[in-house]
Amino acid sequence: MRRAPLFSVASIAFSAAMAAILCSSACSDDKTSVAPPGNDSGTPDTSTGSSVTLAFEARVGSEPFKCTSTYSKLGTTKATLNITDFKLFVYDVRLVGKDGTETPVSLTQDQKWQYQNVALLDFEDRTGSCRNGTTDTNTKITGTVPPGEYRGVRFRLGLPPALNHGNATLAPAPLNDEELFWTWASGYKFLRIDSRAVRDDAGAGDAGTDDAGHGDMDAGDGGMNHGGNPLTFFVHLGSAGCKGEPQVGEKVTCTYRNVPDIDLPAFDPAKNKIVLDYAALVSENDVSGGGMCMSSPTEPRCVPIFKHLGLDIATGNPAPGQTTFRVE
Amino acid sequence: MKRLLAPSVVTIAASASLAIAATAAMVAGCGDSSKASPDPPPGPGPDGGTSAFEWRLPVGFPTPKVPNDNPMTAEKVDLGRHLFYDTRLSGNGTFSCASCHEQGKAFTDGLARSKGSTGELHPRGSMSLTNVGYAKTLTWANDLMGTLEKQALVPMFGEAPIELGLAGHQAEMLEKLRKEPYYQTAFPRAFPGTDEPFATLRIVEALSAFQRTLISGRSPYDKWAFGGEKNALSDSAKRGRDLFFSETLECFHCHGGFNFSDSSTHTGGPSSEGQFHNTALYNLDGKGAYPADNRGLMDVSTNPADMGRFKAPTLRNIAVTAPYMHDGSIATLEEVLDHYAAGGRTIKTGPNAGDGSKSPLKSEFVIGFVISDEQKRDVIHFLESLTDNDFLTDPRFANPWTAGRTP
Repeated sequence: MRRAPLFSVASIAFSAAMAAILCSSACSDDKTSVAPPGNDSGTPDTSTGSSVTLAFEARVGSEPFKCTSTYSKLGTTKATLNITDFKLFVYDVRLVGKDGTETPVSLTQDQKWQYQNVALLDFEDRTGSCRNGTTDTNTKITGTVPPGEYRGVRFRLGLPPALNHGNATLAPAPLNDEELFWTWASGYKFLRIDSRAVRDDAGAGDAGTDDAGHGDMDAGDGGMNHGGNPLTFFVHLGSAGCKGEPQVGEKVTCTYRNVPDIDLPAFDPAKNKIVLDYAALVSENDVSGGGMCMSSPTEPRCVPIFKHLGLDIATGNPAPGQTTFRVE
Repeated sequence: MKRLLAPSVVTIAASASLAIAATAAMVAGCGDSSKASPDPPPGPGPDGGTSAFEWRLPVGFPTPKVPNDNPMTAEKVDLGRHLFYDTRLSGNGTFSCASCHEQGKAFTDGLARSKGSTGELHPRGSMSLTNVGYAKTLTWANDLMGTLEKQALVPMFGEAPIELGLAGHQAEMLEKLRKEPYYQTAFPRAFPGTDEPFATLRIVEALSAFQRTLISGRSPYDKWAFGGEKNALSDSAKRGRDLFFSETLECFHCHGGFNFSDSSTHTGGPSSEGQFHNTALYNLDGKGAYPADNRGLMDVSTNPADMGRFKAPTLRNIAVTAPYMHDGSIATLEEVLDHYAAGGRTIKTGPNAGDGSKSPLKSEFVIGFVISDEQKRDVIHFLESLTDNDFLTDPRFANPWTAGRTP
C-alpha cells in the first residue's frame, strides 16, 4: 500500500489522470507542475489555486510504522520496542519553485486535521501498543497552491506561536487533542513519539495487548528515575523556556522555540511521499527504557534527537543536518 | 500597611515589627467582611440559574482573585466539589483529585511522592490545597502556571508522570459524566446558556471554583491574633511565633503574609528572588545541582540560575502535611528546622551526596542559625497552632457522594 501512488497532485479542473499526463509531458524529472484550474493557457490563477496533497509515511527504518509491530535493533543499545504514540503538528507548508522561491500551500479547512496553516499528522490507530490513541489516522496534508512548477517542499514541525499558547480547552480541532496538550510548559507537544521497550526481564511483552491504558505500568517505589517508567522512552518536542501568562493578556515568548524547518529539495507530490523515520531520529539514543527527551536544552538525551530533527539545541533555532525526514 | 492589605492583594511582612503591624491592619481593615466560623454555603438560586457566591472569609483575609471568565457561583462550586471527588475523572476509573488531596491531611496525601492512577510514582509530593485560591502560581515550581483552570489540565492529561491518566480518554470521560443523573442537572445549572455544558473547559472551571473555596484561616493562631482569644495560643507557641518572625530564623521572608507563603500577589516584598527559592536541600556537584528529576523552576524556565528553586508553600495546616519539601525528603517538622538551622542539608553517601549548605545557588535567607531544643519545640508549637480543624473537617469540602453512590 505504501508504494501505491495514492497521493498525487490533482488540479481542481483536471482529473488526476489528466494531471499525470500533463506532468509527464511537461515536467522534467526534478520538478512538479501544478496545472491551473480550468485554465489551459498556462496563466497562473492564484485566486483559487490547484489542489495538492502531500503524503506522509511513518517509518521505523525500512519498516512502516504500525501499532501492532515490534521493532528491533534501535538506538545505541539495539533495543527491541513497541511504539505507543506517533503524532506531530506541521505548519507553514511551502512548495519550492525551481528558482528557490517559496509558495505557501493553503490548507483545506476540514474542521478535523487542519486549522489555519496547521495540520496534525496522526499515525497511530489505537490498536496494539497504542492504547491511548484515537482510531482515526491522518497521513496527509491537503490544500491548494497557485499553479506553477515546483521541485521541493518545506514545512515547519510545530505550531506558530499564536496558536501554541492559547486555552487548550477552547481550541478547535486539531488543537483539541489532549494527548498533545503540554500545559506545564505552556503549549503543545509539537511531536510525540513514545516507545516502550520489550524486554524479557520486565514482562513488557504484553504491551501490545493490554487495552487498559497505562494500567500495567507498575513501576513500584524506586523503580522510577529521571527517565520515568523504566521501559519507556518519550520524545516530546515543544517550545521551552517560555514566559508570559496569556490568560491575563500577556504575550508568551519562548527562549527556545524548537521549531525545525524541514527542507526536502527533491519532492514531487505526485510521485513522492515524505517519510518520517523513528529509527533515524533515535539512532544515537539509548531507547531501551527509562529515558525521555522533553525538549530541555540541558537534557543530554535531547542532544542527538535535536540534531536529527534539524535543531540547534543551544538556541532552539533550525539547523542543517536533519535526518528524520526524507523523500521516497 | 492597610494599602497593602486591600482585597486580593497579599503582602508579606518585611520584618517582625512589620508583621505585627500587618496583623493589626488585617484586623482593622477587613473585619466586617468576615465571620468567626464557617457557615453553610448559599443554596442554588430559586430559578436554577447562577446565584452569587458568598466567600464568608476569615478575619483579615482578602478576596481571592477570580478570572473574569470564570466567576464564582454556588452552583459551580457544588459541581466542582462533586467532580473533585469523582473517580470518573481518571482514565481507569480508580482516581479522583481527592485521591492525592485528602481533606483530613489539608488536601495532601501523606506520601513523600504521590502515586498516580496507574501506580506511577510522581517525582514530587502532592501540594496542600489550603488557600490555593491565593497562590500566585500553582504546583511546586512553575511560573507559567498562573490559574487553577490551567493547572487542572496537568493532573488530568499529563503523561510524564501519569496522574489522573485522562489523555486519550477525554471523550469517554465526558460520556460517563453525561450519564450521571446529578450531572445532568448540575452541569446545565452551573453553566446556563452554554450550548454544551459537558466539556473539559467546564470541568476545569468548576473544579477551580471549588478549589477557590478551600480557605483556611480559623486556626488557634488566627483566633489569638485576630479573634481576640488570648488563650488560644500557648506561651510556647507565642515564643515560637516570635522566633518565626525573627531575623535570626528568617522563616517569614518566604513564609510571610497572612497565608505564610510569598507565592502570592504582593507588592514590596523583601525578596529579590521573587517567589521561588533554593533551600539548599541538594548540592550534587558543588555547583548547586539538584537531582535530575527535580530541578525546580529550571525545568520550566531552562535558566540554570533557577536550579533547585521551588515555591514556598503555605504553612497553614503544615503540621498535618508531612512529609515535607517538594520531594518529601524530610519526614518531620523538627528535621525541617534542623535543615534550616544547618543552612542546608548534607547528604553523605549515595547518588544525591553533597553539602547543600555550600550550594552557590541557595537562597540568601538559608544561612543557618543556632537554636536550642526548647526553642525548636516552641517554633513547632507555633506551626501546630496554624492547624485549622474547622478546615480539615468542614462538610462543605467533604466528599459529597453518599455511601454506595460513590462513582
